[in-house]
Amino acid sequence: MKTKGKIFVFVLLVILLAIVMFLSLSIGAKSFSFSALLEAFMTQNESFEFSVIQQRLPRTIFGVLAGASLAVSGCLMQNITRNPIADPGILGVNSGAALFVVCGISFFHISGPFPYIVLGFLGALLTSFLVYGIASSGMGATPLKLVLAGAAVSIALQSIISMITMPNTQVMDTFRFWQTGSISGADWSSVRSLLFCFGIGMVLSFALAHSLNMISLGDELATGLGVRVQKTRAIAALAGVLLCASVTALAGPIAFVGLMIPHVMRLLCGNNLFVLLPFSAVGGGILLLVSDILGRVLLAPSQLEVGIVSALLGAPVFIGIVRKAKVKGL
Amino acid sequence: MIKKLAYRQRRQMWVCICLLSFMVILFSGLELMWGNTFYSPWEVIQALVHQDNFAVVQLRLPRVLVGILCGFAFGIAGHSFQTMFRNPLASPDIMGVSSGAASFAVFGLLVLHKSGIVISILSVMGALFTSFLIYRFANNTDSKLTKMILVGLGMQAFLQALISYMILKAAPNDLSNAMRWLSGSLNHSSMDEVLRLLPIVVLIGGILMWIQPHVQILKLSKEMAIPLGVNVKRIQMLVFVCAVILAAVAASTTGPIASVAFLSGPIAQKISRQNQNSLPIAGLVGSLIVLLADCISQNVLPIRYPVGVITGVLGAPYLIYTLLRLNKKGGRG
Repeated sequence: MKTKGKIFVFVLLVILLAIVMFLSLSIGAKSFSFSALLEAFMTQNESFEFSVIQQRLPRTIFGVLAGASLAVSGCLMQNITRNPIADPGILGVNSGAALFVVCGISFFHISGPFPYIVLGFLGALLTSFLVYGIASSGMGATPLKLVLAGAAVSIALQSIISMITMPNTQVMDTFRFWQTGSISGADWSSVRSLLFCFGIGMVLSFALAHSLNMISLGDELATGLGVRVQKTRAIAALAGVLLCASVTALAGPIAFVGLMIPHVMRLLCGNNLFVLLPFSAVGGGILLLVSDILGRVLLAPSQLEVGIVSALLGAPVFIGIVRKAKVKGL
Repeated sequence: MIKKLAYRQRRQMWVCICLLSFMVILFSGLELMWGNTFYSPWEVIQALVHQDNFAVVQLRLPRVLVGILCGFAFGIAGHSFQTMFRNPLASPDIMGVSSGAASFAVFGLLVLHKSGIVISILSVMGALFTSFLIYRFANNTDSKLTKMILVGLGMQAFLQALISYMILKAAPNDLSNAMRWLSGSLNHSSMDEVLRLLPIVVLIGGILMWIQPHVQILKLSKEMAIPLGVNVKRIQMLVFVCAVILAAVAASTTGPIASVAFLSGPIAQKISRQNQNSLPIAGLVGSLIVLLADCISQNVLPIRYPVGVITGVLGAPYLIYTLLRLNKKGGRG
C-alpha cells in the first residue's frame, strides 16, 4: 500500500479508537446517550452522569494503554523470536509477572502500582528466560516448543498462584483478576504508572525499529549492515517484557491481544516496524476496549473479565494463524 | 526361548499390576481413615460393613471411588492417545479434548439444567466434536501432529474461557464449583456418579484391552501392521473413539484433572520396562496419581485445594522435562 493509503487507514483507526472510547464511557450498568455524555463533559457539574463518567474515564484510558502495550509487546516478541505465534500470554510471561506480584502482596504486604510493576517486571523477565531456555535447548526454539514450554510454565505458575490466593477468600475475591485479567479496578494512579512504562517501551522500540527491521532480513545480513544483533535483540526483549509486565502487574494476565493485533495490522500496513508499531498500538487499544465493552454487555448487569473475552476472541485467530503458519515438526 | 521370554514378561506385568493395585487399595484406605476426624482401620471396616458411618460411607467412599475410576479412565485414555500418535505430548488434556468435554458438561448443567446420564452423553459429544475440529483444522498439512497439538492448545484456551463465561453468567461466584470445572476436583462426588462411571469405564476399558494386541502391532509401524492382518483404519478409529469417550466421561464428573492423562502413560512405560501391554498399568498409575494428589490436597496442605491444582503442579515439571528430552533426541518426536 502507498504511504497515502497507510495514513488514511491510520486516521480511520484513530477515529475508530475514539468511537470505541466514547462507547466505553457510555455503556455499562447504566448506559448514557451521546448527548448526555457531551453535556456532562461540558458543564462538569456534580451531576449523576458526571460522577459515573469520572469512574469510567480512568478505566477507559487504562484499557487503551494496556491494549497498546500488549500489542506492541507482542509485535516485538514476534519480531525477536521470528515466530508467528509469540505472545506474552501464550509464552507464559504474563503468569510469571502475576506470580511475583501475588507473592509480593501476600507475603510482603506490598501495595501501590509502582512496586507492582517492578515486581511484575522481575517475574516476567525470569519467566521469559526460563521459557526461552527450555524451548531453545538442543535444536533451537521452534514455534511448537516455545508454545509448549510457555504452556507448561504457565500451568505450573497458575497452579502456584491459586495455591497462594485461595487460602483466604477475601484476598481471593479482591485478586480474582490474577487468574483472568480485568481492567475494572483501574484508577488514576495506575494509569499514570502504566503511561510511564508505556512511554519508555515505545521510545525504546522506536529507537530500535530500524535495527530490528534489518534483523528481520537475517542475522548475517544485519551484521553486515552494521547492526549489533545480540544487543539489539536483548534491549528489544527488555522493552517487550517491560510493556507486558506493567500491564500484567496492574490488570492480571491478558492473553491473545499481543498475538492477534500484529498479525491483523501486518495485513494492513506491511512489515516495516516504524509503521507497524503505531498501527499495533492503536489496534491493541481498540481490541482491548471492545473486549471490555463486550464483557460488560454479555454479562449485564455484572461484568465479564476482559481476559476471558480476549481469549474467546483470540483463540480462534490463534488457530487460524497456526493453520496457515509453516510449522516444521517438533 | 521366546515362550520363556513371553512368560517372563507376562509374569512381570502381573507383578506390576498386583503391586499397583495394592498401592491403590492402600491409599484408598488411607483416604477413608484420614480426614477431619481420624478413624482406625477397624472402624472403617465396621463402617463399610454396617453402612452406618456418615463421614466414611457418604462422604469419603464416593470420593475415593470416583477418584479411582476417573484416574483409571484418564490414564487409559492418555496412554491410548500417546501410543497411537507415538508422541508423549499427544494426550487428551494437552490437546484440549478434556476441556471440550467439560465445557459441554457445564453447558448441560448450568444452561440446560440437566443431570445424570444426559451430562455424560453431552460430554462425550463435546469431546468428540472437539477432537473432530482439532483433526479437521490440522488436516491436509505437512506436519499434522504438530499442528494438532498447537490447535489443541488454542482450543483449550477458548473452551476454558467459555467455561468461565458460563459459570459467571449462571451462578453467583461459587468458587469451589468453578474450580472444579476449570482444574478438576473430587468435591461433590456422590454414589450416583460412581454408578454412572463404573459400567462405562469397565466396558470401554475392556474393549481397549481386547484390541490392545492389534494396537501394539500398529505401534511398530503401519507398514508392518497391514501384512500382519491389522485393519489399520478401523483399529485407529476404534482406539480414538474409546479413548475420547473415557476421557470425556471422566472429565464430565470431575472436570479436566490436569496432567493425569499426560503423566500416566510414560510412567507406566517406565515401570513396565517397555513391556508390551502397559495399558492396565497406565490406568492404575492414573488412579494412584489422583488418589495421591487428593490425599495431599485434603490432609497435608493447610487448606483443601481442588485435586487438579496439585496434579497441575506435579505435571508441569514433567512436561518441561519431556520437552527437554525431545530436544536432546534431536527434535524428532
